[in-house]
Amino acid sequence: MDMRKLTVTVVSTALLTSASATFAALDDKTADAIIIACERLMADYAVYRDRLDADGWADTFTEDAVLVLGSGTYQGRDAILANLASRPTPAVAHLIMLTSVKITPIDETSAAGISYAIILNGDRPVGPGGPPIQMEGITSVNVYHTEFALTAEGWRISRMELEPVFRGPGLA
Amino acid sequence: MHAIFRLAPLALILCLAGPSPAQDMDELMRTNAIVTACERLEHDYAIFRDRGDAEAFANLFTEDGEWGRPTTVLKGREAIREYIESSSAGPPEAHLQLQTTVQITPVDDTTATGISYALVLEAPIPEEGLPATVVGFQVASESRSTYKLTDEGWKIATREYTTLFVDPE
Repeated sequence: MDMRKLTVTVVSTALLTSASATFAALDDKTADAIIIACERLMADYAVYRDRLDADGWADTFTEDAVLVLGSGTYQGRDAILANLASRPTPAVAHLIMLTSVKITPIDETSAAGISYAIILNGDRPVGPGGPPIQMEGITSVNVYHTEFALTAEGWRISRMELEPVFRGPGLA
Repeated sequence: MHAIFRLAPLALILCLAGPSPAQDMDELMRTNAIVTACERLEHDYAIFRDRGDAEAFANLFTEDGEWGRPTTVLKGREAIREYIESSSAGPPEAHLQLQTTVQITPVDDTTATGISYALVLEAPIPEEGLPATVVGFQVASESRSTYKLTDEGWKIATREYTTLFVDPE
């Protein structure tokens, strides 16, 4: 069974069987499962974005998610997908290098996250075995403020707002 | 009514209900255990490499594990160990491989795949000792790995990396 569908089943079952499900403290197993699911979502967000996998990227969000980037605010999965699908391919070398990722479960169906990332943004693609791009430093450092929700599809990002904190000398 | 017809609706309900919550939780725990084990391999990879611990580094791989770039691949623990030993033989350098994004995808109970990014800082250690001075990073790379569950635990079966960015110096 898909891990995310499995999470839905397990957490939904916990909801139905627990008399004090909504406001009680989460048990360790449930909290750990939420944290791992949301950490994996953040990694998916980064890798799919870097590879310009628009479908995979959009699927990390809820249907009505809000994504706030420097280029604008995108409401809904379709708008988020279009944002990535409209970019030229093959993808220029781009790495969202996640460092600190802190996930805070709120209840059985919601969580919040703060994540730091170093961004390296190149000016051309680099395929396997291809020559690397020379770059004198990082491009930027961002903080991602994220809200997660448990949906029928599993855990998804319901809101993400990017906060640019540092700009480096590297290509943009 | 024949017993089989009386039991049929119950059997149908049981089939539709799928695995029990306990089974679901067990399966989720197994999946998360694979993710955690492979993430730990990623961190061990960086730390053993940084310390030049050739034996421990080589043992992260399966006996016949493969490691390298698309153009140059080392095969087997012995070749990997010898490479790390030889690359640690020069003047003392501070070397930190900062593992960043790690995406682990369990395939089944004994196999997983992963994509991971690393930012490498490297500089000669000055005569007066650490800290070494850096201006930028040395390289940034993407690795694509497969992991296997062996008698020794989870190990890296194949790992191929591409250097995407490099310091001009």
